[in-house]
Amino acid sequence: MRERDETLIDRTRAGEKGAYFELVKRHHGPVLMLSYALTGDADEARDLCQEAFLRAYRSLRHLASGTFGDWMVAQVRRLHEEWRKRKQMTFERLEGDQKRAGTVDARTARAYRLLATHFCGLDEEGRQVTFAWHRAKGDLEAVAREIGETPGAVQAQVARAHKLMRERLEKELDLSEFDR
Amino acid sequence: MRCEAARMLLDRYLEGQLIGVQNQQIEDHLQSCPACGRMLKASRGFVRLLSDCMDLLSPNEAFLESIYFNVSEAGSTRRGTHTSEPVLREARGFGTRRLRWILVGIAALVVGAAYLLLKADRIPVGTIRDPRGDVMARFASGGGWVPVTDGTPLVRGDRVSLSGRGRVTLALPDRSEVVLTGAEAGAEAELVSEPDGSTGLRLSRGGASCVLGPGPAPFLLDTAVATIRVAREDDAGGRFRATLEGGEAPAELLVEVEKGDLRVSNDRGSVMVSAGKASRTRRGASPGAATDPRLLRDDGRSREPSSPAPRKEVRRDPPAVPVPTPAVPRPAQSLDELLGDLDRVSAPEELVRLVAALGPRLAGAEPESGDRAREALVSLLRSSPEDAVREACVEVLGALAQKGDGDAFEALLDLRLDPSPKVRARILRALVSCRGREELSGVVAGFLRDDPEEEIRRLALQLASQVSGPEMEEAMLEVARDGIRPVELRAQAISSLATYRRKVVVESLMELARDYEPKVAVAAIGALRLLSGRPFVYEVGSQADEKEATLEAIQAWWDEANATFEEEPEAPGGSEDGGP
Repeated sequence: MRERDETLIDRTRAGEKGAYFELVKRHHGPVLMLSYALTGDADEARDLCQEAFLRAYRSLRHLASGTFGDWMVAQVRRLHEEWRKRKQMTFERLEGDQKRAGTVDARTARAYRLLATHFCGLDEEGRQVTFAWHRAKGDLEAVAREIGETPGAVQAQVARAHKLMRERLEKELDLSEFDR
Repeated sequence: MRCEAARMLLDRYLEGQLIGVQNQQIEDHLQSCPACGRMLKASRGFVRLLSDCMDLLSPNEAFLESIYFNVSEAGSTRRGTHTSEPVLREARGFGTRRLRWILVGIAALVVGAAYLLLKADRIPVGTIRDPRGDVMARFASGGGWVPVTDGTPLVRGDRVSLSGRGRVTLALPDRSEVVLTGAEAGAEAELVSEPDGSTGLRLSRGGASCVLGPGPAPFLLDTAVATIRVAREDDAGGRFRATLEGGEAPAELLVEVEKGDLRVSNDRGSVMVSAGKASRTRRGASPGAATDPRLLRDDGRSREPSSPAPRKEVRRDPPAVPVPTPAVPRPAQSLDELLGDLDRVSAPEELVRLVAALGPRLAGAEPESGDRAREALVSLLRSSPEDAVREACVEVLGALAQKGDGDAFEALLDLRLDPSPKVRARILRALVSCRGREELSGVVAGFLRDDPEEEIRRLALQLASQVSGPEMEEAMLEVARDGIRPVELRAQAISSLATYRRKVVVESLMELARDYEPKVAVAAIGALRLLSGRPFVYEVGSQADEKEATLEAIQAWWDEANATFEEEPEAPGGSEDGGP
């Protein structure tokens, strides 16, 4: 039986770091995607994600209500805002850095970023299940075991999440360009 | 096969789930239908994009380990959320391997000692705590200014810089704490440690206050005009020796603290500072003379009103010295007496009671006493670790600000990023209650956009109607459009926008009326109903064609009414309630 986030939070507050690691494992995917949506750079996103989890750990006592996932979203947004102010970062500059680094071309970078933004527009359940589905390479049984749902329910959630993201992306991109 | 049927099967076809006749039928259809062919290409493009993007961001074990490592290093949270019990439990588990661990420990000690000898300059002598505002550091090891976060270790020679009105605490190894505060021009300091064990700061800009730890190591504050060293004279008591260099000859001061009274003596006399009272001096008294401070206070003839107060940079906060806590304040206490007690008391409940008692007495207070009271409250709000105490301070400062006290307003503004959500919520309410301030629209917009707490962002939205302005409008539009935000918050922001008769608002609402989140669409159409005065109807669960009809009606109305809406944002100060 998968432990609820609230239980893990209580255990963390009682001093069990292992419980917090479980929370990190569970939520790092969506948090990374959000970080990427905000920064547009994979390395920057990892740093932001790492810092957000560390800061969240330190201020876990302030989490009074709401879900851990939504709270992490708020943490990342706030932290990113601080970073942006400090480093005077702009999206253009980030994209420029990315181009110079030669990781992906500007068109793909923009597409990734839009995708990450729409991924973050899903509800928490949608974010979790989409990430888990990808990590399990589409193995519905494995995802179902991980999140404690039936394979049918997982399939429905994944389909819904894909549909929402795709509908939104299609307004901004020609997706057929990415069919290589 | 018809297009509709083919499109329903497209995803399953892509995943290779179709077999036999169905598979053949869809392949035949795709070859003959260019529209479905394009849809297939788009579907494959989406799946590939999603897969590549997630691969790019796929965290490896090293990434997760780095989070685990950092969390493990973070130790317990600052205010003791965690106990040491789990650590003890883990330690017991070593059992039979004790000898091995002892050997490992010895090896670690040897390596550590070698490291200390070789890298003495890299031993941390301070840690960044609770940075507020833009806090940057330039490390002695090289490189430019970089932002620092809570817990960043500092070594000798590292420099810390603050933007205007920023603030940061530097925790020193002997549990001393130096609070570096920026004035308008910010602050800059270098961490220094000397061979005699003294640790401290070389301050080139800004101000610093220090609470000495229990250790015997002297504290050093080096400024452009003087160098001050303060060392504890006894193990637990309140005797300190301060040396000032920078004048014609080094001066030595003996500082004694007892029950909240401070006596600073040198070879020419002594200065008495009673907590919350004016200072008195008595010339000619020898430093060691046992003088009863209360006698000095009552001696009106020996008063010298212009006696200098002790240097602000080396403020001694009462909690650093074990002083007895006075009894509950008497109901008839004067403002001065309350302020005196405020400096002496350390128990949070007592502090809350004293702060609450200050409020009513400030109404008819002399300007000088009022200023002192405000300064004491701001200092407490800045430094008290207790949420309840800070909340009480906000309450009183808020009342002052509401009556037009600009300094109280500025202080609340300055300290609005309090770590506790409860205190931030109070500060937000207190600030908004001060009508007629230009900054409010931007401040409330900041809370709405950036506060990590959902409750506070909601509160900011609730208060939005009292502080209308361009920044507020912009923030509400941003929240409304942002798909990452919770749906309820977006819907609330949309409803609040119904009072802004502006083109950009209407156009955004029309776009939001098509949002895939039903609650967002309902809120947008509701706001458009209010702005237009037309009976546009749409509810969650309505049929798609009903929604389309409503959207068409909205578009028709907008084609007519477009010209009657404002193009430019409201100028600051243009709100109906006298202007933010």
